[in-house]
Amino acid sequence: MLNEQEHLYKAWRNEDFYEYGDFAKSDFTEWGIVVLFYACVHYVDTILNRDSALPHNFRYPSRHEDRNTAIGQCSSISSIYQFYQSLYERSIEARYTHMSFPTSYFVNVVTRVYEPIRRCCRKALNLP
Amino acid sequence: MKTYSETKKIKAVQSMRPIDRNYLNSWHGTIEVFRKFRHSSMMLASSSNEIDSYTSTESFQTSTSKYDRRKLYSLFRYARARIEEYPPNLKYINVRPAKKELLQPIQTESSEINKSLQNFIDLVKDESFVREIYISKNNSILTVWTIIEAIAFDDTNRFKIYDAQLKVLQKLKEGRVIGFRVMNVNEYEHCSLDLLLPHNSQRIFIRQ
Repeated sequence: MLNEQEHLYKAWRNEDFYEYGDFAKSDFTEWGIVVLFYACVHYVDTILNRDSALPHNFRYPSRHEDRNTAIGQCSSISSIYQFYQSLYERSIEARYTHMSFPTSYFVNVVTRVYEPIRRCCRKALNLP
Repeated sequence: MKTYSETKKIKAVQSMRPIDRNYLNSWHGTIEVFRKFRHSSMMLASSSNEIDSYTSTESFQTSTSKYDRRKLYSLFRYARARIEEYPPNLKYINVRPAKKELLQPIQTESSEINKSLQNFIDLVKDESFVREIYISKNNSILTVWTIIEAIAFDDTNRFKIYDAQLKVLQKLKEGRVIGFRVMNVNEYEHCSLDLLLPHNSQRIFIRQ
């Protein structure tokens, strides 16, 4: 189980990799979605770990379903549930199905799904 | 001279011939054979006798065990039935038929979960793009699968489902978990949804 700093470090590592990969200009948009999703997972886990009002399986989620439900019940990030669920599902489709995402859709995901999650999480964590 | 479509039919049937028994016994093998068959069955849907005659050939019968043949044949029959059952624009939706009783409340779940499921159905059933809802259970987690038919890679309708999911999750008791998935049939044109849904999934809603 990672501590808060380790979660944030992993989130930043994923963000660095996203920048490095320049996925919007590559043929690997599906992997761009996976990387962004895992950056969000670590931001979300950091926030859930801090929320002492949540039950243990939500504070330290070991399964995606626990995490997704926890987001819906965590007052500071419940507003991103729809975005997070969308990214979660797209990352599954990226990894386990034949699906590849059109570049225009990928850009949409970055600006309309990932960015709101990132903004909300960083605000909840008092990060710039 | 054979027409193009006839050539395709023959190739499709031939592609089913080299069935390795060990491979077939594996899950991946079964899936692959099913995929091959699905693909070919769409072309053969109007001439189902061809499938019957193929599955009775010696090469088919000797290349697999009795169990495998039965399993395969049931897959064949099933795929063909689905294609004939659905209208042309839905022929890729190769969904598992649900028994009538499965559309009733799921008795194995707690009343709270049943209530949540009913609540979810009530929230989304009036959305015309919602076609079916399935549930499955894995590692004690209930997952609700919403099958929608919407413009591919336009998330507008997906987000309506996510709104409903959020409402359901926020009413769950402490620590309770429900998993949710949404699949858009128009994003899976070349892959059967039946292969993506868990084997133990049950249909709890279908648009009439």
